[in-house]
Amino acid sequence: MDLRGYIGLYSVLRESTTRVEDRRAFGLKYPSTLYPPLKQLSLWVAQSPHRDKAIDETIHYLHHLNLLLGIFALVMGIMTGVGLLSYSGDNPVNILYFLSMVVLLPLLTMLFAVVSMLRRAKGESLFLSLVPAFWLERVLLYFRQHTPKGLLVLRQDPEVVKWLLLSRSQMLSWLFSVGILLALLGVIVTADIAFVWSTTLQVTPEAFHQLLVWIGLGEWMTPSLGLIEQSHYFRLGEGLDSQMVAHASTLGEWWKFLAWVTLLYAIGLRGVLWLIAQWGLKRAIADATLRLVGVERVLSEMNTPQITTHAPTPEPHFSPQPAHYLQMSEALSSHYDRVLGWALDGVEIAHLNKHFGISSTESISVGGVMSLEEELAIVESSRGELLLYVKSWEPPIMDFVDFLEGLVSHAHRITLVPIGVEAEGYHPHPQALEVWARRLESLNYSKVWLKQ
Amino acid sequence: MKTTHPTFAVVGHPNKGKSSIVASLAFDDSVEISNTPGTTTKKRSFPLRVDGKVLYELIDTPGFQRARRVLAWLQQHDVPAPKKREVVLAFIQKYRNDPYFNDEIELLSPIMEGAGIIYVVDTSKPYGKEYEIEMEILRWTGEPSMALMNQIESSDYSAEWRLALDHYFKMVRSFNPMEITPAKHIAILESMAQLKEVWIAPVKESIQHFQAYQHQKLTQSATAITALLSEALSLVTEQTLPSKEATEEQREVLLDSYQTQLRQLELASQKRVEQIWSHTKLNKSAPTLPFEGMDLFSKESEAVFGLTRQELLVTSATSGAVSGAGIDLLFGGHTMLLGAGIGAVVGSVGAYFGFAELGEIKVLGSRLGRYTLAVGPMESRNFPYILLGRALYHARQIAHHSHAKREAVDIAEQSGFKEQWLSRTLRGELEGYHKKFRSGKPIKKEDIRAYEALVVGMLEGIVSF
Repeated sequence: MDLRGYIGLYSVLRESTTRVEDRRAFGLKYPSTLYPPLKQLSLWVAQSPHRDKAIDETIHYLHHLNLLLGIFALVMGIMTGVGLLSYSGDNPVNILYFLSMVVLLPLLTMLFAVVSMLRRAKGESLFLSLVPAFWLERVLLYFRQHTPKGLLVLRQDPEVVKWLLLSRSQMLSWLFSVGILLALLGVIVTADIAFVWSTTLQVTPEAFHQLLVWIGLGEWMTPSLGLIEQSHYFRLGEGLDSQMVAHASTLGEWWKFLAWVTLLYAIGLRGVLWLIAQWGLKRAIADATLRLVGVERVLSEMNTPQITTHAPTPEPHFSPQPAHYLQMSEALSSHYDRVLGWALDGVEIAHLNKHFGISSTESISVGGVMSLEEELAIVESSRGELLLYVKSWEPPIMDFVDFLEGLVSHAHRITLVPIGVEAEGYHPHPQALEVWARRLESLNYSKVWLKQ
Repeated sequence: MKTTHPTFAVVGHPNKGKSSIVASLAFDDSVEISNTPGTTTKKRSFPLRVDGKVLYELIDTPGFQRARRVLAWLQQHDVPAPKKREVVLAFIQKYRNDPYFNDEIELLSPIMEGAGIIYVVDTSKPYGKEYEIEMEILRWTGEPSMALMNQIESSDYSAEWRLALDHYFKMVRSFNPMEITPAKHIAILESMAQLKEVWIAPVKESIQHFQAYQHQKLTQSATAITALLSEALSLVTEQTLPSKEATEEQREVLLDSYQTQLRQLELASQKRVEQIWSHTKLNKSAPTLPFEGMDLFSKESEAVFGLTRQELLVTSATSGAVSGAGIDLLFGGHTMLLGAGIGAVVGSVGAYFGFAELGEIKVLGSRLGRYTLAVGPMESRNFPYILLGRALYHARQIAHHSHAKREAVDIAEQSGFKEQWLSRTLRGELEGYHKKFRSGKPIKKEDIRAYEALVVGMLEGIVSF
């Protein structure tokens, strides 16, 4: 996962409209057993149809920023080098200035960078605000119309910001040092420089030699004790002494040592630190990627079997309206021309007649397992006032509706009595009665009355 | 067209609980359930899909409407048993587009395409001979079948039903969709698999996926509950002040806003848990379920879900002692357990004074001449247990709530709930994390993971599988 992937993932997580099914399909194509989480995420972003122009804008901005600052650092390095090595012909070049710039300063700033690397960032730290790259970026941003969107994303994670700045500052320092080295080589080729060492401190050539051996990591590139003695310069002599002039050609030999320590510290060691910073940036991006809000959910959706049990299409909502059936009968008569029992046998009808105090010339079973021909004959022979028992808990199905339709064309009046179970004294439940009333309301038969 | 995966058509008389059974087995509370006949007019498929592959399919069908006429049509054809199936196919062919037999066609079509028959009856009502017509039609189809006795109400006529059903079906099982548990769910699936030998393996695979599915839901619920606890305990509510002094009214307004935000966090978490368990309709009908009338900050909540002062003192003292013991270890025991002792005392004192106080309302430093009044993170040592207890209770009720139920979740059984999930050891572990959540410092991912693992353990203990 690189910067582009990180910013892209942030954008995809917030603005993409992919479905869970798509994410799982991706997980099946790139299983976690073969593709670790970061690889999965990076592939997912790369294959996402969602494209944010801000990502390209940010990456271009960062590239341009690095290029611009890099050129600036290189030029600054060359100019600094030329400045340090400027030789008028009267005063020799004191190597201590140069050594400070290519050994002491790099060591100090590298120490500072290492401390920053080891400290966990919690926001804009004082350490980071001391990094020149931090201010250089601020200055450049000041002249832009707007801050790239992706940059704001990067700034949300202090660790990413820290490593980004450290990586950039190491690169700039490295280029600055390359500039110094180039200046040294350039000046050496084009001018005749007398290098000396001069200090107010009481330092003997032997001690200075010893120090240089330490700095140069051995004697092989360190100037000889003789050269050190010859190039010890005291300002009171008003210019080069005669001994120095006599060994003018040897005073220039210092450049080899200077080039070596520049390569060793300002370029070599800095280069190592730059590589470490880049590795740190990569790790910080990886960590920040896994910390992004929504990443865990996406990974889980990719790598967990998707189980669904529901119907693919929603069911239209059904909301029954309360019944307002007007033909309600509060009491039953004591006599009916015919009593019918829907899905009730003769014994049950007799029980019900007795229970309700009904007398009738005929009590007949209908519905149930009766043949349709038999039932039709009963319907056609039905006349006058009828009482029809039905089981209240059984809803009025179309078979019953067909029967009732035939009955209303022959009978004068039909009283429908939904009954409850015997154990409950044949009292129907109000909800069951409501179902029957609603059905009769929809049928709208003027001859049918419902017993309350 | 014959289906390649196990398919089960749930059929029967209207209003006998077919849709309820399907809703509970498919964890789908969007199924229309009503006591009005004809609510289901079209067959509806509920496939169990794992990564898009259908492992089995349940089909909800309309009830029989004109069974006598269908049987009469079939019986007009005097054919030997092996040919009866063809007669049913001929019936479907003939009346496919006839609205008169719409329900029968919808019901019989999936069966003739190879679905096993699940015939549903309501055994809380007396048996009637008219059911024999439906059972006879199903016998004509020649497909394997089983009966489910669904006792919708309390009265029980199952004995007489069983005698009749045994005559027509090779398997008869009792199943109440309102009281479904994962164990009962699996048992009924295993029975259904017996209808055809080739279905045993795929249904067994489905059962394994179901168990994984249940665990997924449990883990997701734990994540939601952990997020609630960490967000609620670290919540800080601020209000800008024009001067350094805050009035009593400003303090009250801020505290009220703080409590409202905490309530909203709890409600959002509850909704998330309901979504995880596919109870989307609960949200619409009763947004504050299941603690309507029992506020998060009420004494009742505190009494039911919180710790007693004594429990909290013991927990905090233990937690403090463990921290102090670290210092003793550092000094190789030369401190004579003084660290542990001091830790215990500090913990107890903190718990005693921070038992119920939600948080200190403080005025923060000025910024361009303006001051900020702030409350939070949570200071009450008891509040996390109240919040966690309520979240666990809610999750348990939702996990146990059948998708066939359309009424509100019952919260009557509360007594003794705390003892079901909170042991003394667990209290000690939780206290350490609550302290971190309350600290106001960024919460580490590892702590969140560890807390989630604890909540998964608690849920496993209270949600019966």
